[in-house]
Parts: sequence; structure tokens; C-alpha cells
Amino acid sequence: MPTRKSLGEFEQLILLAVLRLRDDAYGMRIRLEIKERTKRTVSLGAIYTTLERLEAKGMITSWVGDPTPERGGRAKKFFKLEASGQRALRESRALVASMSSGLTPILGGAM
Amino acid sequence: MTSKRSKKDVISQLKSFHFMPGEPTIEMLRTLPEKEFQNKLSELRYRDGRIWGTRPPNWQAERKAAWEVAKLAKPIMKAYWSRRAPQNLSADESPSPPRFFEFLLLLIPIRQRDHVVGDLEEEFRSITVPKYGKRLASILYAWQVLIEIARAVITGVRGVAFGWIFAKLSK
Repeated sequence: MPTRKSLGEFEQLILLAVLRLRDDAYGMRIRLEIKERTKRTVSLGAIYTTLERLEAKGMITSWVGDPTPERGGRAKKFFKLEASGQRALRESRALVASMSSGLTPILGGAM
Repeated sequence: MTSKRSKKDVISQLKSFHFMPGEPTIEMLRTLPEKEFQNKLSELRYRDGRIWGTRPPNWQAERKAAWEVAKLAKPIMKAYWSRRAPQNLSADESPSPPRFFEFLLLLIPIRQRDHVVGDLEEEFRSITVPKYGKRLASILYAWQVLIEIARAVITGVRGVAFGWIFAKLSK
């Protein structure tokens, strides 16, 4: 099992949010998605820093949309999960699954 | 513009005046004849009109020039603030976030700035204002801006510190 590109917890959260949001994945929506599902408040700066890192690794790609009035005429930066990002997510999940297999009586049904 | 006062009054007031090198001292002023004393006094008035309750001789011209500069600057500032919102996209009806805190966001890295400012503004306009009202939404916006700035500063300091440690270790 390749572990060279194992993802951190926050990176996994970001990638999963991008995956869920599909064509509507940009900073504010990603933050709201994480907040709604994990009850964690994260800063936009942290999100963008992680997204930049993931983009540099080739796991996601980005493009700039049209300016919108509710953003004061600023453009949104959208993100899309690439095949290598999906692969990295699968590997991370498999890694956790393999480590937690047989521990269900202790950890419970989660995972 | 100026009213003549007695020499004694003026000299007593001059005790708090900061004389520059090359200017007459109080003792010298005291010994001057009236006309020459008034001349010296007017020179000092020009230097600092506040002490004498008067203004510099060209204050009106200076004020006019300042107004002219302000008049020229106004459309430039207006264009600056509205440059990101083209006419057809302006959201005049919806409330804007506090400009001061938006200005503070200049402290965050330039590559993220536009997107972070846009996201915060969108959240302010489309979520927090309808949910909490403008007043509380402005407070939340300010709080988020401060968090973003604190994060950017901590990241920057940490980067510099790591760079310094790495440079020391690699020597």
C-alpha cells in the first residue's frame, strides 16, 4: 500500500468537502461545509493555504469564476478534485481502516 | 489679523515659547525698541501662529490648496473603493462590511487576499446579515478579520523563525 502521499486530517476534510460540493467548491462554501458537518470553525486563510498545497501536489485544480455582486465584484476561485486526489483519499481511508480493523469492540462502530 | 498687545504681556507669554537657534532671546527682545520688537514678533508669529492666537500669513491660501487636493483625491478614492464592483454588479442595496476591517485585510498574503476578502464579504452579505442583522454581522466580520490577520502574522513569524533556524543549522 503506497503511503508516500498520505494526507493529514485537515487535508482529508478539505478534499472531502471539495468532493461533496462538486462544481460549487470555493473558499466560503468549503468552510461552511466543514462547519456544518464537523462543528469545527476553520479560518479561510488555513483553507486557502491547504488548497494551495494540495494544488501544488496535483490533487486538485482551480479556476477563477466571474465576479459577483455579493462579493463586492470579486471573483470566486473554484476547486475540483483530480484523480490523484481521489486516489490519495482512498489510500488514507484504507490506511485508517487497516489500522482500525479488529478494534471495533474498543472503538465502537465508527469507521 | 493680529492685534497689538503690550510688550510686557507678550514677553510673559514668550516664556513658554521654544526659541530656535539664531532667533532672539527674551532678554534681547526686551531691549529692542517698539517697532523692531513688533517686527521680530511677527517673524515668530509666522513660525508658530498657535502661540499668538493667529495663523500663518498664507493660511487661507494653504487651506484652499488643501481643499483642492481633497477635491482631486475624492474621485480617486471613490474609484479605488468601487473598482472591484463594476456598475452593473454593484450591490448598493445590501449592506457593506466595515471598510476599516476590510482595509486591515491588506495584512494577509497577497495571493489569498482577494479570495479571502470576497469570501468574507459574501458570507457577510448573504449569511450573517440576514441571520443576525447588520450590527452583529459587523462584529462577526471584524472578529473573522482579526482571526485571519492573527493567523497570517503567526504563520509569517513562524516562517521567518524556521528560516532563521535552518540558516543557523546549515552553517
